[in-house]
Amino acid sequence: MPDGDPRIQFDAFFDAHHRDLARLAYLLSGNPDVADDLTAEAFAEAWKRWDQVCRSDLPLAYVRRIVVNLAASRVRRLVRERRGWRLLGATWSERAEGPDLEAGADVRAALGRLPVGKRACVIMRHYYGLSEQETAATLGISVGTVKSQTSRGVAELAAHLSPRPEARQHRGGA
Amino acid sequence: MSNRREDPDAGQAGRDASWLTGLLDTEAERYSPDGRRIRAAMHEQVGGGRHRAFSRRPVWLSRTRARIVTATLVAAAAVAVIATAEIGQPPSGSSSAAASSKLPPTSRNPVAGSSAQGNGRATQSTVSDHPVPTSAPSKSSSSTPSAGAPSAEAGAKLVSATGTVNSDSFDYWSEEDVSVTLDEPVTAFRLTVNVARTALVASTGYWTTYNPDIFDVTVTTQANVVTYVFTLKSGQTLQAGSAGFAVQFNHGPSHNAAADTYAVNVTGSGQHAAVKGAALGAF
Repeated sequence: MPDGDPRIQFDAFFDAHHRDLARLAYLLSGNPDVADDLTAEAFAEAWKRWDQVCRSDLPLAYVRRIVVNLAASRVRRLVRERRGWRLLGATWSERAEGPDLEAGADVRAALGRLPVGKRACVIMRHYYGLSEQETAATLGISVGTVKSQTSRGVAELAAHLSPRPEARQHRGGA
Repeated sequence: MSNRREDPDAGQAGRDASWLTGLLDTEAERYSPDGRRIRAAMHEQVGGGRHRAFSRRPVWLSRTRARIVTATLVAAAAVAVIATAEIGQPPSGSSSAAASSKLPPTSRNPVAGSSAQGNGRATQSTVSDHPVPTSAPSKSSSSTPSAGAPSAEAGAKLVSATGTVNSDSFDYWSEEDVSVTLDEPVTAFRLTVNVARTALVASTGYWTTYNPDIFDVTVTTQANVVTYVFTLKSGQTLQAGSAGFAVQFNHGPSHNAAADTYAVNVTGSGQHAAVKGAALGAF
């Protein structure tokens, strides 16, 4: 960042990417409120280490990884604390958030059954359309791991969702 | 949804998983991120902690305040905005219209060299995310032929302009937009924006919705003012229509856009016209 106020750059980055990152947080968490919070937390983290973000080849990928890590640590924390409030786990249950969200409950439930790592791989590959290499770079894992996690993740989602595509109101046990 | 996954081995993962992409897209679309809430929560986390100071209050609060300030000063602006027309030099450039100058006014091109380079994405996004200055500027500052104008010019209006403070501005940074409407093609064009150099004022960039390549742009910092000048390159022509220009700068909380001004000078159809505006109300 040779010149220019870092804060200006950061603001611009926020404007450009907060929707993208919030949607990642949403797909990871299944809950709009949690997604907002995770996104805010991720941007706060990004600001703390903004120099590193800017130095990285792919600033967006860097912050996506922050989102994924925060989502994962949130899951761990919540599991550990066993609090019932807005747990990621809880949001993956059949609880409907409203008419709009109800429609996707089965998708969220299926995603929610995946461990966060698999979930992240599936999202990177099939929501963002990243290559295996890009996914590996974003998540900081090996290409081999991306391949195996993604394929298993897709297979598990398929098992949860596909047997009854015309009867989506029934939630699938595999 | 054909997703029989007989062989979910690595390497095959997702080759035929377009059904999944569709589901994820649909699911993601169900959620509309609340940018304001996210930004406010982020500021809360950053501002309260040991991290680098960001801003004392959430940006959206600052913006709200800025709007209020702006609104209260509109009355003053109505007085401050001056519209004049001058009879000036005959058209300097010939009318060798350059096709490249006729770009859609809605395309937003950063002027070469503008803004911070360090983070290309961020720079680009600044450009793409800020609202385009209004393409239907109010006529409050439109030029009218002044006394002394040739009679042939009576009723003619080459250019009108409006200045506004972009709503993304906040206590420590602002973008001031000038929307310019040309009623006829012009062969000479100069926009000057003067930003009062109050505490901490420093340029962070500029852009235009025109093709930036057809302008020479200078940013000059003097004791009391930072001056941005957009000058149409010789031989170029701007077609009739509306376009936007923006200047961006850091500043301290004390900066008052009321002191910022702009002026547009154009030549077309053998006439020279100018409009000026005090920034505020406008900016």
